[in-house]
Amino acid sequence: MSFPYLVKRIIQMVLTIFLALTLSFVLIRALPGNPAERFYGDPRIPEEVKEQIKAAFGLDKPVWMQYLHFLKQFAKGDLGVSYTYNRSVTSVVLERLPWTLFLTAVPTVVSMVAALKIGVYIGCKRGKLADKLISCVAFALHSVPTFWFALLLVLFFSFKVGLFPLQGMFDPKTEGFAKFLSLIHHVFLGWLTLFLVNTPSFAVYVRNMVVSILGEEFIITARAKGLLEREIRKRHILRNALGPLFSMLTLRIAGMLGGAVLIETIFSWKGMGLLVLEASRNSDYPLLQATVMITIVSVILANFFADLLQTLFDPRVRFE
Amino acid sequence: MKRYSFLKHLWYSSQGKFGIITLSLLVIMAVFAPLIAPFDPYDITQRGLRLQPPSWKHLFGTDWYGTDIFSQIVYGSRISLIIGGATALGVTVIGGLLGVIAGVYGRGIDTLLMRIVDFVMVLPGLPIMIMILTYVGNSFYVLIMVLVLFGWAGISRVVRAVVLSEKKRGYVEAAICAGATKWYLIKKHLLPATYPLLVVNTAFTAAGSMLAEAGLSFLGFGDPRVISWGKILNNARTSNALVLGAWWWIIFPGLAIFLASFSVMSLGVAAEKLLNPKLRDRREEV
Repeated sequence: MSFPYLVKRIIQMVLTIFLALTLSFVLIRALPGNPAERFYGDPRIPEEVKEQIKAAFGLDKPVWMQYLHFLKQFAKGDLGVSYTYNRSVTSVVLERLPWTLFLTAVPTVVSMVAALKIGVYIGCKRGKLADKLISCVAFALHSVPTFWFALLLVLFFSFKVGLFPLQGMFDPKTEGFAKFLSLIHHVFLGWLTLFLVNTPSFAVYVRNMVVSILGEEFIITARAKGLLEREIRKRHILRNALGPLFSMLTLRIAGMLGGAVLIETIFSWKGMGLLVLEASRNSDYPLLQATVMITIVSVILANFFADLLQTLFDPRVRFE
Repeated sequence: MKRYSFLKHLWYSSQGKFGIITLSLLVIMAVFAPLIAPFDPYDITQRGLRLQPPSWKHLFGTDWYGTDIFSQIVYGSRISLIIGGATALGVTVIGGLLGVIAGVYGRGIDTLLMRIVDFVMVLPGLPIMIMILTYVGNSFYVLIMVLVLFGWAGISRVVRAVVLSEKKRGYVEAAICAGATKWYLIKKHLLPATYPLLVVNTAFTAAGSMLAEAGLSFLGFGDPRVISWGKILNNARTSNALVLGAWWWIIFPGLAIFLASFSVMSLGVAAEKLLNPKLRDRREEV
């Protein structure tokens, strides 16, 4: 990977994070009903006390100083103390982050691998039954609410068949490897939901890439060389479809990490999404802000890595 | 293409036909909800009738409070359609306008707008929407505004791309040479060129915002005063319908959400095929 490209991408990422923080700062202060106002907004509170409260929150200083303070605190990882957990919000959120990643990343990777296989297959046989079927399914799935799909799976597999637990993360009685198995047992329906919802649309994306790649001259050359169809698919088609797949992933990451709120609610999965909901329900503003901000930063970081992976597989991007 | 013949052509494609029929039925359901719903969807006093499975009297069964689910779904169509329509309108107007501005004026304005678009598109919408709704309070109008806030970016980028490629076409350059003003160009040539994309994007936005509304209502962030499909599912969740095995309480509202979104999407795709000559030619070959 070329060094200047990397530097450019890192600067871009830092700028985006900076912009996101600025937006959070503006939102938190500009929205009506913000928490500080709840402390001093009561008209019965005397003027001196109001000043004291403002000073305690640093609200007596000019906005730009508040802003710098906010950035400094973020850089130090100090985002305040949660009302409900009574400890640093950063530690609460960072405890939850791995669980959300565990829930969303695994099915995403499996989906991408499956989509490559399926996409190349139906792309090479475009217009055939398998192609039409998967394209139809992908189109219909755009209209299926993911959370409802998850509910249906729970309804069938957990309630009717009794194959999986209704919710929760693991059996508290288990230890060691049994605990890990129990974890998989609990997360499986969540994984299945994300896998089934994402794979068809990923596959159709790969298929469209494959169809356009098939018209390229290097495919004709490869055929003329007498390469086996299997070799052409592996070396020329698959390889070229990989880069764009990652670029599509960057468009989906925000939706997937954000959408985790819904899946985590259904499975009572204690990740970041459920934390957002908890914080909102308990009016725990520092926790709510921190969770949202850290979700945003995670999305930006994930995008950055997906981009890097894309350039690894598709060198052309680097020179754009 | 005249409007009459456009609708006629839409009717001739199977996707268009499906979209028109389903969407019309939903609109009729929403407009005449009080006449169609057999029971009061807000009546939570019929506790003796709680959790009845579907029957001829209660088509989709009843919930934990004895409320008829079919009636709730009939009334819920109002929210879904209004949210879908209003958001799509807002997104199309704002996104389309900003896209045209970026494409026509170029330079600094373009760079700035596209940077903002890039930024908005990487934001995880749902958690931020939840934060905003927690601060401002759940209401119908805030919901629409929030959905527009997160929806305009994609459409403006697409519109910009169309405007940029159209600007280089001979007829536009000829118009510029003939002394056309920017406003004339936009009105006469550039904006009409974006219509096919705008139509399909409007449809997709409408479908997407219906789903987003359902998700937010499912989490308890819908307008508390009105019933919506997402809210029926929220009630089902908070009343543990899964544990109670009340499958009808979960399946039917979800099907309604799916049908509404699917019909709008089908309509959008059918319209795109008609409006985009390239796709239309391909269709006629078949």
